[in-house]
Amino acid sequence: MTTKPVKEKKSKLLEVRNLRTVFRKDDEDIIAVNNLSFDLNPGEIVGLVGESGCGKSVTALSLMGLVPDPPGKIMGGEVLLEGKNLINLSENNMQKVRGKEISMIFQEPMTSLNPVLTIGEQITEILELHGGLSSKEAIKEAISLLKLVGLPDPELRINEHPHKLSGGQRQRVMIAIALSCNPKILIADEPTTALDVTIQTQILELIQKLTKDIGTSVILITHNLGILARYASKIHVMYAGNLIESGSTDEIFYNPKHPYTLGLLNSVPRLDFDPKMELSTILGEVPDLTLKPGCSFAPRCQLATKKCISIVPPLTESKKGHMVACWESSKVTRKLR
Amino acid sequence: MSDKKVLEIKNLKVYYESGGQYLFFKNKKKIKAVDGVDISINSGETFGLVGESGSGKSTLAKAILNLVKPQSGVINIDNDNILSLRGSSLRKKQKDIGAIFQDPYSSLNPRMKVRDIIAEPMRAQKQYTELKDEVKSLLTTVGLDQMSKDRFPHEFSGGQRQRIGIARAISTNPKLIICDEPVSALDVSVQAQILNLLKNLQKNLQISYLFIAHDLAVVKYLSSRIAVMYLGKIVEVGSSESLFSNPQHPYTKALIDSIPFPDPRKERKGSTKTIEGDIPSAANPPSGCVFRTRCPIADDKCSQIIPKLETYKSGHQVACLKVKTNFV
Repeated sequence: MTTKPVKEKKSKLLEVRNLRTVFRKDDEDIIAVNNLSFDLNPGEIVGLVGESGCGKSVTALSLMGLVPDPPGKIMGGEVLLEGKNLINLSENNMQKVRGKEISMIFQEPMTSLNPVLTIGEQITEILELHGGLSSKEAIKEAISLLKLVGLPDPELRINEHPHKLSGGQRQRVMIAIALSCNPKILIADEPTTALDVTIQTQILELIQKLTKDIGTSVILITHNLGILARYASKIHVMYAGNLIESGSTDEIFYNPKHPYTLGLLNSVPRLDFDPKMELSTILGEVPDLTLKPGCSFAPRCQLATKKCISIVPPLTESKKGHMVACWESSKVTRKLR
Repeated sequence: MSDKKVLEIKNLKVYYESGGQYLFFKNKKKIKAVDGVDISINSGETFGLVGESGSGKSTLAKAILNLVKPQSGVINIDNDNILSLRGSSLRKKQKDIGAIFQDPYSSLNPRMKVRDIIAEPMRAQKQYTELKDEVKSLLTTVGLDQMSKDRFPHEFSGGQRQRIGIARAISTNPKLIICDEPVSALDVSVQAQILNLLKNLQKNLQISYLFIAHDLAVVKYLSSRIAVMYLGKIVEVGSSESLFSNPQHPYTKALIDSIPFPDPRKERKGSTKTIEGDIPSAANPPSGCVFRTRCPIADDKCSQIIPKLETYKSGHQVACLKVKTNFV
C-alpha cells in the first residue's frame, strides 16, 4: 500500500515509508509494524495513538534502530531523516544519530535511569560523547539543562542518585538527557503514563514549551486521546500494526472515518458525560499479530462485511490530508454530544 | 439507594513507622499515611476516592480490608466496629467486604484454575456441590464463557482477568467492594467494558463501591459522591455534581484543571493551569494546611492553622481556610 503525500513540502524532517518490522517466534511471523508511512515536519508535535500491542512502541524502536535482533527485524521500508535512510546505517553510524539527531524518552522514569550513577554523570556522559565537551564544560551545561527542564536546585541535584527524585523529577531528568544534544526529533513513548495527572500536565507543558523554544519535533506516543487533543497537531491511529487513520487533530476528533477511531473516542469517559448513560464499548480484545486476510479490525467491527474479512482495505484519502483504511468509512460519523 | 450506612469510618489514623539509622537506638519516624479520616458510604452507592500517589488512598483501602492495623479510629461495617472484633465474628463480618485490585496480572494466583480462584472465598461457607453451580452462575454474571473455569489465569487477557477478579469479589455476596484502581491497567476499549460491568452489577446486586482511582473522569462516571485526599487527609467531599461544578479546595481545582479533555477546540481555548512541584513526603508534612506548599493562594495563616473539614451547603465539605464567603 503506497500513500501519496498531499503536496510535497520542501521541509520534511522525517519520512517513514512502508516500514515493516517483524518478530519471529516459534517459526511464526508476528508483524508488529506493517507498511507504516508517515511524515514529520520541523517543530511539529505528532501523536501516535493505539492500544497496547498495536505497534506504537515497536515503531519508536524501529526509528531509533533499537529493535532487538533476534527475534525482531526490520523487513522493509525506509526511514528517511532529512533524506538519509537510517535503516541501512551501520551500528557505529546509528550511534551518532541516536541521541544527537533523534532521542527518546521512555514510559518508566523509575527504570530508565541508571540507579548507580548520579544525575550529573548520566547527563554529562552524553554531552562529552556527542557534544565533545570537556568534563567541566559538560557539568556546567548539565546544570543549565536541568534548570531548563525546571528541576529545583540543579547544582545540588546533580550529585544525587535517581532514587532521591520523585517520578516527575526523574522524567524531567530524562527530558534533560534527551534534549542535551539539541536533537531534531524527540520520541516520547508514553512519557506520562506512570505519573499523576498534575505532574502529567507539568511534563507535557514542558515538552511543548521546549519544542517551541528549541524547534524540536516530537512524536508523542500515547493511548490517551485527551493528551493529544491538547498538544498534537496531527494524529496517526494504529491498530494491530497497521496505520488505520491519520489526519489533523480536529479531523480525527470531529470527523473520524474509521470505526476503531470512533470507538476509541466514544469509550473514554469524559467529565461532561452523563453518568446515567452506558459507555459505548468496542467488543472483544486486541488481536494477535499473525498475518490474516482482510481488515485486522474486522472481527471487532460492527460494520464489517464479507469484503472486510477477505480484502485488506488500503489507506486512501477521504479528505485533503485525512487518510483512512476502511471499506465502510462512509458509514462512520461521529455524533457530537 | 437508601440512607443506610454500609461503611462508616471515624477519625481513622494509620501510621507507618520508618527509618531508624541504628540497629538498637532507633530514631523512628512516623509516617502519617492516613491522618484523621471520616467517611461514610450508603448502601448501594459508589463513593469515589481520588488523589495523587502518596495521598493515602490505598492505605485507607487496606485498613478497611484489615490488611494494615490502624493506630486509632473506628471502622463500622453495618454498625459493627471491625477494629474491635476478633476471630470468627471478624471473619463473618469480612465476608461483607470484597476487593478488586489494580493489576489483573499479579492479583490472581497463577497456579490455580479459574474455578478455584472464584470458589476460594466461598469455601468456608458452602458445600462442594453448591460451589459448582455458584461458579457457573458467577461466570455468566461477569460475562465469561463456561469453558473458562478449567483454564489458568495466564490464558486470559487483562480485561478477562479483571472479570475473574470481579467474580471472585462478588462471590460472597458482599455489601461493599473496595475497587482499588480497577481499570487503570487496562486498555481504553476494555476499560469501558469493565466500567459498564461494574455499573450493571451494582444495579442488579445492590452493592456499594469504594472506588479508588486517579482518573477523575472515570470516578465521575461511576460515583455519586467523591472525596479528594491529599497527604493522608480528606480535603474535600461532595456529591459528584457539586464537586465538579463548584470545586472549592484549590487542590481539587488543580486536579480538575489538569485532566486533558478529549476535545481539541475546547482544549485550545481553555487554560492549562496546573500546580507546581510534587506531593511532599508524609514523613515530614508541612505545618498548618498540608497543601500550602503547592497552593497558589496560600498565605501566612495557612502555615499556622490546620483547616478542619467544614460542612457547607448540601453536604459539600471542604477543609480550606480560603473558602469563598459566598459558598455557604
